[in-house]
Amino acid sequence: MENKEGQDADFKSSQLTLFKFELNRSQTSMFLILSLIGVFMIPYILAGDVFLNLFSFLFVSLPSYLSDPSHYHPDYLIYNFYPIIINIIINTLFLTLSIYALRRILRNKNTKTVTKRKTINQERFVNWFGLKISHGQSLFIFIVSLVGMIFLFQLFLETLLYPEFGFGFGLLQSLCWIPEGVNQATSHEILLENVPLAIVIILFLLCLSSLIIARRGKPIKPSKRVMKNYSLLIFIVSFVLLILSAARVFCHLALFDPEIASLLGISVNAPNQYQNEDFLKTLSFFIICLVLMITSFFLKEKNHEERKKFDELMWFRVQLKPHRAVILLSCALLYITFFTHFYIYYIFIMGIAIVGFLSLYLNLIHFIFIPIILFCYYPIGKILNNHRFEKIIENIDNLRDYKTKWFGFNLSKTNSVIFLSVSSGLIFLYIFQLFTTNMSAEMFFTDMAPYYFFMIFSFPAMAVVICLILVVIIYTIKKTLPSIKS
Amino acid sequence: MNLMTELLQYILVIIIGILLVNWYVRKKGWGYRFRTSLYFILWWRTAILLIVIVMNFILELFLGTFLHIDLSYNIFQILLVILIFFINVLLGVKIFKFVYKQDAQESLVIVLIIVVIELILETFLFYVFLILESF
Repeated sequence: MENKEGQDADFKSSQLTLFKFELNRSQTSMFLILSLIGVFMIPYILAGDVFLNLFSFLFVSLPSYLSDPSHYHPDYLIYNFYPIIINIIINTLFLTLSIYALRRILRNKNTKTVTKRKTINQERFVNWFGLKISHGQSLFIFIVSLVGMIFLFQLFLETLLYPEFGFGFGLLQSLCWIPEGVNQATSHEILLENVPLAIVIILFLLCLSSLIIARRGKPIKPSKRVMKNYSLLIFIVSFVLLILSAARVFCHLALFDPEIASLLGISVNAPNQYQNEDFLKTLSFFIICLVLMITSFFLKEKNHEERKKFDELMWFRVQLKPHRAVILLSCALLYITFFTHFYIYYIFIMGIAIVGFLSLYLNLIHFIFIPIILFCYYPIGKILNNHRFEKIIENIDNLRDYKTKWFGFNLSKTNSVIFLSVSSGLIFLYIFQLFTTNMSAEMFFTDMAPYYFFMIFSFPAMAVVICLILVVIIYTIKKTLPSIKS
Repeated sequence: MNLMTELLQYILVIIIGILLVNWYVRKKGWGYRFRTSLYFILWWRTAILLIVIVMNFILELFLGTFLHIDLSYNIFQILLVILIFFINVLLGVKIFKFVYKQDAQESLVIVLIIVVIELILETFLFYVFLILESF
């Protein structure tokens, strides 16, 4: 009995470090959820890159180029091949990071040896661009900066490898096009080439500096006031939007102000009603972002604020018991990751229409995705507020003794509940993916061109990958379902 | 919906399902006969087959004939699959509870395993027919 209590004490005091950051139990659980999402989701994206895009290059682009090279641009193969390879490398990098984090978290529970390395202590605060943020928030900033840097680097590489198309039709390119009529927009080569690059460099430098700042900190006093979680998110989003709207204001001035236009060597355009309207919208947007940024500075809370009782946790009139709270948090994190990735990828890579019915600000894409993302954020914010998640994990671990094995890893009760929640959320997503893959295959096969014959192998291969992931998900559910038995 | 494929899938799921349910019952040590497993799987799968046929018929009739909406590749098909998945799992759990008089949680794993096997089988049959047709 004494031995067991000793083990429990060891378990509770055991500190996991990830990227040298000390993690408490709630942060470890959050990382476990995120790494599981990565481990389950990225293989499907990689399969798409290999079986659809790479195969398309190998069986369509390459043979058609080799049959008549004079018919194509000299760098045709590079333009087609590099984006695929970059995608594969970056997705492999994210998959490796997810597996690394998952192994670290699961192995940590089994090992008793504590290596004495210099780590970043939890009892600290960080001064990030004038904001006082806690250790957990600095960890969030570190992860966001790391992901942001990789994303921006990918965007930059694609620009280098696509010199003829610049930033393609992405959001950064859209910012440089100013509407001049109902279906007309104007821009200039100088702006199209340099403004997106400048934005990428500024954002990259901000991410890089955040990555460094997040690791530095000072010891914190209990009375110290730090940022609220949601105010930090408001600050980040409004800061990025402020940079983007500032770039658009600059494009307006460069195209329509005679002095700035002559300075840049751009032939000046005559302002009209559409341009004025867009300029006012952009300026209003800029001011709103600035106000939000300033407001977020003042939304603070005490670092060790009184914890609310766990019973008080409700979500849309549903009382959240510990298991329910973890299931809801995991599903919300899964879907917020899925939709945010989809939304950011769509607007940055595909871009948004800037003329006609759809405008940069009142676009259907924003109205679909932003409410979904906010809906997913609502339970996350609620559960993470006031250190509630820590209390939830304590409650789950104290309920009863439970352990299971998953592919050779020992899972504690909390980890089992997390595995179960993520798997339950993923099963719907993968059934949806399986059906959309089959639907695409059906559409494709009804009118298949002879050179796309390789798709007879590609679509079934994609389906096999999804089925394999589904089998792993069912195995996980089978292994971890007893963890929620009362 | 291809009725032949649905029937073939129905027969295959019954064969695989009965073996799995029987194995699960023996593993749990509940001491039920083979006939009970047969009843459970027959009731469940027949109910699902009828629901699929009726739902497809209703969709075809109302959306296809009256509203002239092409049902081949649209959102209704995706919604139908998600809806049938929910009905499949819920009905499986309810019938299991009724036949075996056990907790719903006891049946969830085996029901999910059979539903996923059914999905994999459906995908396999779909690609076999699709590839054969394309040749």
